[in-house]
Amino acid sequence: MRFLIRRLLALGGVLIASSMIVFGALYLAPGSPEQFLVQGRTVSPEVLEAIRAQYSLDDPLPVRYWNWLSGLFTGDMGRSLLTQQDVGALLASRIPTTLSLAVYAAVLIIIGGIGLGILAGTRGGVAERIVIFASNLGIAVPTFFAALVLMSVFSVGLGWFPVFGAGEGAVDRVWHLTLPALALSLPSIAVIARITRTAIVEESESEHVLIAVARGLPKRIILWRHTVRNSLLPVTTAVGMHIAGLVAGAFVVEYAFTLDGIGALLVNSVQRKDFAVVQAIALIMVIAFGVVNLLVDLLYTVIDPRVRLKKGQ
Amino acid sequence: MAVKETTASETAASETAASETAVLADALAAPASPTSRLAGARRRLGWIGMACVGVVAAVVLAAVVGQFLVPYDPTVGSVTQRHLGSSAEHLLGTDQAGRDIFSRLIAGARTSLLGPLIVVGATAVAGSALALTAVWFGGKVDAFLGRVLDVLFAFPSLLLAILGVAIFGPGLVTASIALAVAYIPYSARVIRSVALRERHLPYVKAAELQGINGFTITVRHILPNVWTQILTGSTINFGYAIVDLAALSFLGLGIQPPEADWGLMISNGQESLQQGFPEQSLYAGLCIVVTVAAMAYIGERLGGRAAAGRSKR
Amino acid sequence: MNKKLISAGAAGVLLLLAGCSNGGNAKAPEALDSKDLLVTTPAPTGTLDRIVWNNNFGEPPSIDPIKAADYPASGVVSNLCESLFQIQPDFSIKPHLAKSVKNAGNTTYVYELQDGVTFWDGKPMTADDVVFSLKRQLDPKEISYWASSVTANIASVEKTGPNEVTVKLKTPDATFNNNLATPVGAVVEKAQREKAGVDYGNPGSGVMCTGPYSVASWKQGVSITLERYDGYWKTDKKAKTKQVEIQFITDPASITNALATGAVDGSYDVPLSAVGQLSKSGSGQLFRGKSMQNMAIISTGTGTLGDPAVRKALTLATDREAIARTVYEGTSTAAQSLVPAGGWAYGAEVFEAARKQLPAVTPNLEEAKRVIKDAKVDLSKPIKIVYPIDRTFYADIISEFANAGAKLGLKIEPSGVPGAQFGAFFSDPKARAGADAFVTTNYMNVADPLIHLAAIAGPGGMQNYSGFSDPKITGLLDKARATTDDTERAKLTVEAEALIMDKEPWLPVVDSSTRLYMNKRVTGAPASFVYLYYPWAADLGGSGK
Repeated sequence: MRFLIRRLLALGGVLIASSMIVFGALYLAPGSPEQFLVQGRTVSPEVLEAIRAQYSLDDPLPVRYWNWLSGLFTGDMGRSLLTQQDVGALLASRIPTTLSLAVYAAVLIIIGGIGLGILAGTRGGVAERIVIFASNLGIAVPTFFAALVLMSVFSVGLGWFPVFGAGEGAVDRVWHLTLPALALSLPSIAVIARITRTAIVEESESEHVLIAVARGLPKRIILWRHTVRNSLLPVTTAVGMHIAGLVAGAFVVEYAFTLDGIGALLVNSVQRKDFAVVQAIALIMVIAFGVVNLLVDLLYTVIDPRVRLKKGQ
Repeated sequence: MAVKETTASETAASETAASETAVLADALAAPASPTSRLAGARRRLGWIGMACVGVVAAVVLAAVVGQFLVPYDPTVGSVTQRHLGSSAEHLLGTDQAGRDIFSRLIAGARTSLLGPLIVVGATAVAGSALALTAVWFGGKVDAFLGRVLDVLFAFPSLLLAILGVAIFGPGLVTASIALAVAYIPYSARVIRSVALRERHLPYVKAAELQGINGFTITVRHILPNVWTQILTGSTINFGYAIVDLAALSFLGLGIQPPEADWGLMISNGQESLQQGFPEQSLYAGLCIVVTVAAMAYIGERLGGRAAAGRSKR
Repeated sequence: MNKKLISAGAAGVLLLLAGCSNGGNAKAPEALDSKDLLVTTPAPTGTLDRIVWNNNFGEPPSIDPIKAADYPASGVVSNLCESLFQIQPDFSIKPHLAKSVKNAGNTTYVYELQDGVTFWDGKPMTADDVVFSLKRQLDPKEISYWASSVTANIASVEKTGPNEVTVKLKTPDATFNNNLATPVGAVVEKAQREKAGVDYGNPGSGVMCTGPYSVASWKQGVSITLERYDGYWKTDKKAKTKQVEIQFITDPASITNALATGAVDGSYDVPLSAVGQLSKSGSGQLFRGKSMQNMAIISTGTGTLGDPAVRKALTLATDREAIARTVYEGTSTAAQSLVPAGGWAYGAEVFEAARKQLPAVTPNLEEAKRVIKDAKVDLSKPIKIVYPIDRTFYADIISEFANAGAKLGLKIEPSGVPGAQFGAFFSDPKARAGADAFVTTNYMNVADPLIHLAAIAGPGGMQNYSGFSDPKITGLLDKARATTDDTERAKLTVEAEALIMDKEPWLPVVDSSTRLYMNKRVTGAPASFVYLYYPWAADLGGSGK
């Protein structure tokens, strides 16, 4: 319990430090937000002045940061410079898509990655060789390339999946998000499959498994209770890290498949120096990352009672 | 004895790292003569591995001297020559601006390898420096550096890259350095685990007692025992860096047109793909896939099974 | 067998399959003849319940008319809010919410308002609403993107009768009322604007206008759905389709696929990469309409390209006809002037005759080499031309200019910036510093060459990015602005045009046509370039197929 509280406090500290870095970085970036508001047409200098005044863009950096931070504690995340809309409302309408995409990809990674790894590690032979070969490729294929190919072949070429959008309703959403989730999870599935296979192979040669075999335990029990369960430790770390990285990796996929998620919003907002939006999205990413890591560590105690959450060396 | 709170993930990472170092050290600690070491390597690789070495050698060759040997200037073309198919004049056809695709692929090898080289080099240097410093001084220094890395850890690499590019402008060097900053925490963490082991060995204590200063001990004694870890990590990071940098170029944050770069070519070729001319995206994508897969295969063959199963970064 | 080879081969086959299924097109289409351009499309035979459309430039940041100054917002707002005057598909401008206008002296206009106009909430449009709306252009707190030298010229706006509004200008402007066909003259309900406060124009509060459609729902990042307003005052122009859902897809591949498969019923400004495929598609038809759009390279007035001789020479040497044929897939023609061909609603004979005096568009390398000898700058300094990287066709165009430049001994370097930041070039002199030029896909708001040229070449003009100023040209423009007779004004304008084209503050590249795609089940949308300010959706209906 104390561990939990300490980790949450640490997360809070990280959040504040990150927000300062992001704010500072945006401030340092050249260009001024009001210049990016209108795309190909001219706006008079007076109008630009008025925008600067409205958003207090001329205030010194620490003042602006403090205003933002204090606003945060009252639940006000500021307004988007581009649409003048409340950032909270803006994100609330777009987070579900990114979340669904990330969860879908996470499920694919866990089931596909671990499943294929177990298959390769326990069966050996042809299955193992295919999985190894495929994973070598999977790591090498960039997500955006995978997205392009998947869309070309399955959406446009074969027409099995829709071409754009995130869909409405649970089933429609699953259908729309299948290709994007696949593109997003592909490299991770490859890596997890490899790690899982390696871990299982090592476990099955370890002493306690050999003893279990010598004792004549049924193969199934050996497999699940001894080999697989003990090999889950390094696998869980890796799965955790990959899932934590999904929210960020979602951007490219969101763009390629025209999904209304927050990843797509991020790059645009950074380029426009839409401070409030960038801060909010960065916060969400950092929180997601921290929470997933925390869950992974908590999961460890379940998997391996030997690992205590105490001081070690 | 320094008492440091470690998380379960660190324990797992360090255990995997240690076992892997042992295997690698084993592999490289073969008989002293160079020819037998080479024969050993060749045996390890098998003929597929040798083919991969050939592929990588070809890519490196293209990167180094390719720009002087290309049949056409990769950045010049006329729209009247756009989208020509394969022919005697243009081996792989032309892109939408009339530039020869074959020449661009060869020229693109340079940036596609140079960038990752910068990433991996910067990561190795900074990561080791941070890890070794933390390990030598221990205590408060270790804790402080740990906090700093935690903050960096929390940033998805894409966010760091976008912010870095926003401040310093897009380009190969900026994108590479931003990516290196994202990779450093992982690399530092793993190196630290291995170095930590070394730090508390008797011979180091003995050297300390003799009055030799910390820097010398670290460089002369600890570093050599850790560098196989650094090398393995770098090899694996290289493959990831190729893919990640390609993604950044794809998003417009890395190499800028009209320079040739594989990731950029995939992005540039999207519209051509739409119009029925997949050559640019297709061949550039294949270049990335084949190069990274070949490197991964070699790395895993030389480093033993454990190396291949290591968690990301 | 080498597994890598097999996998590479498999991936290759897959992609080639995908590519082939799209139908490659290696032959360039024939050059476009502007006489073939359409104004309207076949009238609808029936009404429809629902149509899905796409806004190819993305989501409107706001639907407040004073903030609708570019493609994304204008295309939506044109169906929602109306102005005192309205542009018609044939580019003529007619009184709209203003029933008539009287000149009372050459700086005063008296408008009689239309009767029976109501807002979507049923309340009648009053003179107070009109005065309030016009004054928003002048209020710095409202931050109107339409504020310019035109609105700065307004001295006062007053209600002078129950249905009458009088506007006094500071200096005479014979083209003032043409500007009122844009959102400069948009009318919104005063009460709702005051109530909505900061959220005005957002998905939350929206706007309150008089147009044939109102907003039924706005799903951010996805689409906005318009609903027919049954109480629309102009009963013969009531909307034919009950609901129009406008999507915000910007990715060219997705747009093409959506149109080809019928997931979307139509869109304007079809992506260039889609033209080949959609021209042959069986699901609908690609229309080419009369347009006021053109593409040009804007000189910042600095660097090697800052010398008019260099600009003229480069234009003469570049094969702009090839650009129109290849990059624009035959949907554009090489541009002779900064005024797009056909961009006039008055003085047609004068403007058309003047075209024959302007330089031809066929590349002439010898002439270019002669012209560049007059250059006074150092030709060895590279010329940097900036473009937004997410619109890759610009890179192809610049590269063609680079080829021509190489023949003249000029070194031209394209330089890309993120699309989101490209807008800074249009408003920030600091962003422009260091670049010789930047690209633009520009359009005339209304078919008035004088307004357009004054904005580009007049001192303080809204589109004068290089501080271009020539006393002779300025004199002609001012005189024209004060001339009430259309033909006389046209004559002065073409004089100015000839002088401007001799200096080329912008390098003209192509005049575009409007690329409209409609699924065969819908028809009626105007094919011409009026969709930014004319309620195009109200003309959409069923074709009976």
